[in-house]
This record gives sequence, structure tokens and C-alpha cells, in this order.
Amino acid sequence: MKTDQEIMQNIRTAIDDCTKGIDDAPSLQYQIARKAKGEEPVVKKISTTIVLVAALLAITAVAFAATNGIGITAFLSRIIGGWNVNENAIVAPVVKENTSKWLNLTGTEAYWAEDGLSVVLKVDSADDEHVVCYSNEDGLLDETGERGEQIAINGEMAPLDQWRGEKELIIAEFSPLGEGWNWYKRTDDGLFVIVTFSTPDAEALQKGTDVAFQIQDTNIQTGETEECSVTLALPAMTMQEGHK
Amino acid sequence: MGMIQAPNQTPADRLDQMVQQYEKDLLRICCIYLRDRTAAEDVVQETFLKAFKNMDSFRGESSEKTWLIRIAINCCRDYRRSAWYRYIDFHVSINQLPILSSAPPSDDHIALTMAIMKLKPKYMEVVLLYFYEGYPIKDIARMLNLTEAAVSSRIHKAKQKLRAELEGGEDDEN
Repeated sequence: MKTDQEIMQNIRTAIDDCTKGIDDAPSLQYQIARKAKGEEPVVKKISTTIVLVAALLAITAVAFAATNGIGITAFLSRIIGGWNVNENAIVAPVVKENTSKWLNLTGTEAYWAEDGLSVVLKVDSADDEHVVCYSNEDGLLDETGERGEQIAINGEMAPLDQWRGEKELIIAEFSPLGEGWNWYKRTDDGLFVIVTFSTPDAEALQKGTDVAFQIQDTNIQTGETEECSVTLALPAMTMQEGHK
Repeated sequence: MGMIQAPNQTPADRLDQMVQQYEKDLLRICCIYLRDRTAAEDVVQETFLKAFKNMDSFRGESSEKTWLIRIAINCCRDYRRSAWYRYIDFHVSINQLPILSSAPPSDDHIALTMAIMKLKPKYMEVVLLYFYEGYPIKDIARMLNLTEAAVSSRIHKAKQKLRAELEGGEDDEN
């Protein structure tokens, strides 16, 4: 096992190698000086590609939702991935097992593309005494229990304590078994989590199979934790090419 | 105690000096944290502007660079919480980093860097501060408002999550 010094050397070399372009790039000094003097407004720069992608996705989202009868919330959760989806290939995952005593999960969509299998779940608390946040970023919490004061809903920030009221806050962290990642979208309809399995079993997916992932929950008010597992049943699926 | 300035040095001059000294270092960290060069440039500018506005509140308890990195990390956190970043934040891609096309990075270095970029922010922060910048645990605890035990725990977990890429490098050396 490498020592911390060896790991330091590895990481420094890797990051420096991957960011060498910074050394030759023009300095931001001029812009910073102008903004400090008030000669230039502080406006966030957005790369052209992102603007074009965002515009295209927004147009596609509205058009698709309007013509297909799929709730805009569920569709927007796919837009976060910037996907160019084949709507006919979307299937509905069924929650076969959920060992959590705090969370209710509803499968809304599943989609298999070149970057992996993604499933969208609606996440609710199991009772009226709790509210659920996705990980620390949604609830703005860290391990020490320090929390921020706001939560993002529909892109707007709202006071966290006002939002949760008297209910206790559950922080849920999702972990696909194997390689993967997850993200979320919170709207007025609730919390939607996207769990992506980067290397699913292709043969099994083609026949229809179960997939599983883990959740670690923490009740922020009581400090209680739970580790639970979720199993979803999927019908036979076909991998879609040309993703993004 | 305020910012240490040379005699006859205006705050604007001091800002220029800080930018010249630390811009590249901050840009590197922010590129990894935000996985996007454009976003990193925004955050670096914001970091220096915040430092400029708060020069008088700098108490000199840490080095200037440490102070700037702390501001940068907070700015990165804010940026990641913004509605816009959530909207566009999807895949981690090496193409969003300022690589040098005339001297592209090695596959091992790409794999390790991408693994770091895929870490949750709480692990990425300690990787950048402990392994990349070389700060001791007690300094990191102060910078991130954590206990030293929490920092140690995050470092340990980060190492576990990066094990595959780190051990892969070790195998290559053999």
C-alpha cells in the first residue's frame, strides 16, 4: 500500500499533467483588476456550448412533455443528464424490495444507453413526520451536522428550516452497487433521484433483470442512521446508441 | 492585523500581486473541483474580488495562499449549489480541463484525475488540500471548519475510493 507521500506525488503529477494548459493560458489579471475597480460588471461567463445545449434541451423538454403526456417532472430528471433519448426505449422500473424504514421509493423511468443504465426514482419520506433531502448538497449538511440555511427547489433557494417546519430531516445518500453515479432533481412534485450504473450486465438487461443499490440515511435531528438496500425489477431492455 | 502591504502599495497593487502569485494555483484547484474550466475562471475571479473587498479582515493567522484557497473552496461550493450548475452538471470529462494538446496527459494521469473529479465534494476537498497542496490535517480542519478526526476520516475514505487508480499506477511501476 502506498504511503501518503507516494500518493501525494501521484496526485500532484496527475493533476499537473491534466492541467498543463493553465500555464500557457492568458492571465485573468486584467479582468479582475477592472472588476475590482468597478469598470466591468461581474457577470458569470458561460461557455457557448453550454448555452446551446441548455437552449436545445429546454425546447425539447417542453415539446416532448406536451406531446407525450409524460409528466414534465420525470422528463426533466433525464434532461439533467443532457440525454437525447429514444422515448420508446424508456421503461418503468418496479421497486421489488426496499428495506428502508424512512423512505418510500417509486420507480418512474429507466433508460439504458452507452454510458450505462439509469433509473429515476421518486423519493418520499415514509411518514408525515420526516422530510427527505438528497445527500449533503441538497440539504447543505456535512458530517459534523453543520447545515446551511437554504435548500434549492426548482432552482430557487428557500429557507431550510421554513421548508421542513416541525418535521425531522432525513439525508439520503445513494450508492449504486459497482461503478456508477447519481444525481437529483427537486421540484414542487417532490424529490427525484437518478441512479446510474456505469457497467450494467448487458446480457441480463436484455432479458429483464433486477438491479440493486444501497442507501445510507441519517436523521439530522436525532442522529440515527440506517443502511438499507433497494432492488428494482426491470423488463427486457435494449441499449440505445447515440447518447448525447 | 490587516493585510501585509509594502509601503506605498495600494490595495489594487496588492490585488495585482496576489493574482500574479496565486492565479494559476487557484485555477488548477477550481478546475478539478468544478470539472469545468469556464466555471473555474469565474470562481477564481470571484475569489480574488472577495479577497480584495475583505483585505482588511484578513488577520494573518494563515498564509495569504491558505486564505485565498479557503475563499476559493467556499466559492466553489456556492457555485455547485447554484441552480445553473445543477442544471448543467452531468458527466465528468477530461475535455473540460485545460489540458495541453501538444503534450496530452498520460492515460494513468487522466484516470487518476477523473477519479478525483468524480469524488463527492467532501472527499475531493481533502484530496486537493491534503494530497495536492500538502496542508497538514490541523490546517485543513481549520480551513473547512471540521474536527481533525473528521478530516482524517475523509482522507481515509478518499484513499479507499481512489485505491483502484492509485494501485494501478503502482502496478505499472512494477
